[in-house]
Amino acid sequence: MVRVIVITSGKGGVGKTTVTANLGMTLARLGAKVALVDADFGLRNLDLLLGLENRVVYTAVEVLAGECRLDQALVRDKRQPNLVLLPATQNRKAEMITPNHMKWMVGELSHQFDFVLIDSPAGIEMGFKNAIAAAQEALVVTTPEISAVRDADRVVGLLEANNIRPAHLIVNRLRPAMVEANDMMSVADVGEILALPLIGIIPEEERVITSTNRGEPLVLDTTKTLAAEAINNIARRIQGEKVDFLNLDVPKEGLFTRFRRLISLK
Amino acid sequence: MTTTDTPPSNADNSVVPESPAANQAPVAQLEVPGNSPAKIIISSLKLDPAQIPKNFTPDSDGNSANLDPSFAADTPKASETSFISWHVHLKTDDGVIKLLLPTLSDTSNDTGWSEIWEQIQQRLAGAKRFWQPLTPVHLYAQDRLIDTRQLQVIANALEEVQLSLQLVHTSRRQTAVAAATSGYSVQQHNPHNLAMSKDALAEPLYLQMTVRSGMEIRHPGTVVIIGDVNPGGEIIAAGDIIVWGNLKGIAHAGSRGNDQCLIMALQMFPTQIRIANFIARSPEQQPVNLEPEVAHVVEGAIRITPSIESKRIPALVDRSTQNKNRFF
Repeated sequence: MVRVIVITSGKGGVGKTTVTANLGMTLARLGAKVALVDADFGLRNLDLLLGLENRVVYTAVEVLAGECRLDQALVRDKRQPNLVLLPATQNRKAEMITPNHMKWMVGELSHQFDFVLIDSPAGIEMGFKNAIAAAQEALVVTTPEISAVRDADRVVGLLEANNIRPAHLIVNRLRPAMVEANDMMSVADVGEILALPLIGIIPEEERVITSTNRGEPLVLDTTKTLAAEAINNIARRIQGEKVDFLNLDVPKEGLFTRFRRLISLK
Repeated sequence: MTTTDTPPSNADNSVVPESPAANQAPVAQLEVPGNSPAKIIISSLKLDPAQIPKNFTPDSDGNSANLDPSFAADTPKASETSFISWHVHLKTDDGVIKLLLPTLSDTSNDTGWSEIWEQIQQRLAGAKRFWQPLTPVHLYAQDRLIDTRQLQVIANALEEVQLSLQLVHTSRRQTAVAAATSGYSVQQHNPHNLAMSKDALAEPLYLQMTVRSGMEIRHPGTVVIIGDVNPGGEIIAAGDIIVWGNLKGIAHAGSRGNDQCLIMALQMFPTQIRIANFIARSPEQQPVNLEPEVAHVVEGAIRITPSIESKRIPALVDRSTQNKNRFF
């Protein structure tokens, strides 16, 4: 039974596309057949993050215009055979896409895949409506900032109105040290406002920048990071496993660090 | 290689296809003589319908690292005429600038006024240096409906670059009426009078601009870009493509199926290049030094040759001999 999940946030730049790419890669590595659908028409990025930009020949728009078949537009990942990408188009022709188009395309994909992950654009306009049209479930990505949470709240309302449930919450780019110092909203604060079941907390990770620029998703990085582990856990939770949340607490000061700090104070 | 003036020592510039495994793209490897590391590795394959897996199932192939689902494609040639939307075109003729709009049949149905308008602005911005102030402009509206307000917008845009709209050619009565009421000369003609022959190449399109992500330049002839083509930008030309700058986006020359067409760039590191129904992409790593290069089709694959050796490209050799024959 296919699961069609939209990854959305309202606000831009909170990490929707990064989460989609990494989650898709992880699910595929866990053995599921995964299709990623870039619904960010006009400003596509998912192909870049996966390092597949130069393999895109046809996009969803050509499929809908009847210029190629759907399977011709699917770009197989170069590392992970279980993962394919349906790229969005870059140019103006994107305006022709309607929610019905998306439903048809996702319907076609659902015969062949276990997961269809739809990367939603920022905003709540047409692109967003297209992205959620075919979705059965949602992952709402937010960062612990007041603006991101506000936009996410708006999106959650729209998801409920469109009867897309369950929706789960991913808190991205958390800085535990700042939360500790009361300079950042905690996961509990975010959860209190959005009142969604939490499915993952991803700590801020600098390596995301390098992995984006290289087109290599973070989860493939040979250096293990907490962020990659967090995404791994989210994938397993999506598949129904019970996985404990990562301990992101700032390590308590040990005798050694306290001693070192004393020295540096002098 | 069929060139005759090639010393054998330079033969390592030729395509070295790997043993083509089933369903695997032949990999063309180009080595520049003198430089030991391969400068550009381009995997290239023909868009051959025979390679299309009839039923794509994601788990069917063990060797699924190959690109077939994405590259396996019907030849663009076949469907070319149906989806190519030829763009707005500027042409200088006898002291008059002709602003040619694409006909309705040349463009896909969804090409609306906003798109035409954007193209007009783009074309005007890209060719500013080439006309005298106050040159008269003739607008060839073809079979498009242009209302008074749109005519006014076009006239204003022309005024901004110091051109003056004087005459409107159209095959539509309503457009003719709109033009007449706005005070322009009107020439109404039969719908098929102006129809350009579908096979003949249009005049070269010369643009001084940066082709940015999301932009698409389509032209039924040769395209010359003075500037860069950024990643995400796309040029589709029925003739050659010449980029005086960095080519980092997608370039498709000979889009109607002419594989003799060339793509030239000062720095060639394209996302993809396509010539007729051949396709190639750059290696993952960007080479350190990029020099002017020419992409062309040889023996069923796209090859990239440094410009200093471009005399060995068959298409260029042929043309020069033809010229000689004409002179002597």
